[in-house]
Amino acid sequence: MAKEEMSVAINRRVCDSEQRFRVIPVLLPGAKRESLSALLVNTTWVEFRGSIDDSDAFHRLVCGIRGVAPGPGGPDAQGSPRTTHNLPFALNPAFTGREADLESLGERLEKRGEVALTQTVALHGLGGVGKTQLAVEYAWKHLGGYEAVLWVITDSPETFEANLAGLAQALGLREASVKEQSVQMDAVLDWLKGHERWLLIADNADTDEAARAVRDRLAPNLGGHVLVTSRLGRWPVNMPHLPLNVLSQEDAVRYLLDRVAKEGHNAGDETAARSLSHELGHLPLALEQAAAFIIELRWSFDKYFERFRDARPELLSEHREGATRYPASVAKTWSITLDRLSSLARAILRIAAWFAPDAIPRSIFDADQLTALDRNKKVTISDLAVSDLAIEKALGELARFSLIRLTDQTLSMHRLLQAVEQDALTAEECLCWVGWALDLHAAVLRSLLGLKQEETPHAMVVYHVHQREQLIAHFKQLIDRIVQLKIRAAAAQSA
Amino acid sequence: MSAYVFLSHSTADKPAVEELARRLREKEGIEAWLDKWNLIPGASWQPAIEDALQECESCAVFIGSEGLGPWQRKR
Repeated sequence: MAKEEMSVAINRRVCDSEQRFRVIPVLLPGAKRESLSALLVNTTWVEFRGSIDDSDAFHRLVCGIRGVAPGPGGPDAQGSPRTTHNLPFALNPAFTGREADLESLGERLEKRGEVALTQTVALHGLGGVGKTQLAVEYAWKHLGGYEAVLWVITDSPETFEANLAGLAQALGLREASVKEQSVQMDAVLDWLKGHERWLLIADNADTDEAARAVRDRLAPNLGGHVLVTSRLGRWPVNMPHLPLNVLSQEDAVRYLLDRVAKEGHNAGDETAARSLSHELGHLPLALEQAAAFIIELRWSFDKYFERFRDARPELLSEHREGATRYPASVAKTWSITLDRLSSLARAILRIAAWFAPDAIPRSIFDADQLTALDRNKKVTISDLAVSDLAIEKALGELARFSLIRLTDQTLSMHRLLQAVEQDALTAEECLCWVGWALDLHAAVLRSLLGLKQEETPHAMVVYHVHQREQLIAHFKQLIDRIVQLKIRAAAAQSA
Repeated sequence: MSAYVFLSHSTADKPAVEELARRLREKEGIEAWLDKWNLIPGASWQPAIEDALQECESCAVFIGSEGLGPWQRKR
């Protein structure tokens, strides 16, 4: 059908009717709000979130067709004036990409059963991957669909309860003036129970205790939506969760370019941005810290890239106070989680830090090898009661804190996390841990090649094991890193 | 009096829009004008649309993930 002609027909009708004819823009699931700008921007619109089963959106559509106000229970389509919220950040103008994640989040939150139940979704991933920023973005985008959007810092059970009670004020409840926290909290929980269209964001529930406090307090019969952001990667099977990964290369590059351009700075072209983004492993926290640094000092992407190679520990500990939305540097963001690890998990992470970041064979961490090699090491591992089961548990622990990603055969670790782990060691410790990595790697090769314990596989032999390309990649990375260590040691000596 | 609404949409969103039209009719008694339902195959469609628009009091412009169709944007 000739769409242009239909357009003419609609147009004529709009002009003829002197505003009695109502035009209702309707955003279907997945539609971008930017598309609205082509329509009448000063009118209200209807937005179906997640699916066309969105009952509020349907209600507003019906009201729009009938020409009546949505009234109680049907939030204003543009929302914001009537939505109570205590969001800690404004809408982020530099937010880039993540369309699929926002959509998946919406789908999980909007999934409802027959009975009004609290729909709780956990958004989890490595510290600095952008969980909080995604939650803020989602909250602003969907503000109009909620009566209240509530932000609760959840660092610990105590902070969670204090902040939950503090919502009495944000919600304008009269109990806000009462001193007892428990009275305020009960009032807030009553409010949540009496309303359905609310979104509560429990931010930074990074410990088991904090996560449990959220689940215990926000009983499943409250109704409403709960979004938990957390580094914890394991959640109850019946609880929907969404793992968040680093940005795609394309989005990361766009982020760097847009972020500096918005500040009127030209830091270089797409190629330079791509090299830097790759070096930073497309991690939103690292990209943001780098961009803030580049903007403040009017550096180029290339200059940051070069300095990063020389002065990585300093730059990863750098935090431009007030210049970014993140509260801490890359190194500090992770130190909290790293300090919480068991000794064996930490040892595995320190060994894995020397391999290529992706697809490190799990077979490298073999209990017998770790025990056999332990005798002539300065850093001993055998007192950690190494067994195959203990190693599996330690890998599980690392995955639970989102520090590694596990498959049945391999583990992967973010390159900047490897960098932070390496940089935290003294020169002597470096040699010791890289020695562990080399010996364990050699042990795997030895078993593959059928060599005896005392035989060391020659580097040339390694290169001839064509069918083990993955192992070779890790071997190359190890050698690179040893060379870098030697160069650094030589530089330190001559200084 | 039952309301009558013209549903403007692009082809990609037709299944979703058709489902919403069905719900409007069955749940709310709102008659929707949808090309697939109201156009007689082979017949000249333009007068039909003009007539429909004269009868409708409102028009819902559906925007899907592809954004606005070219003809929707012109309006």
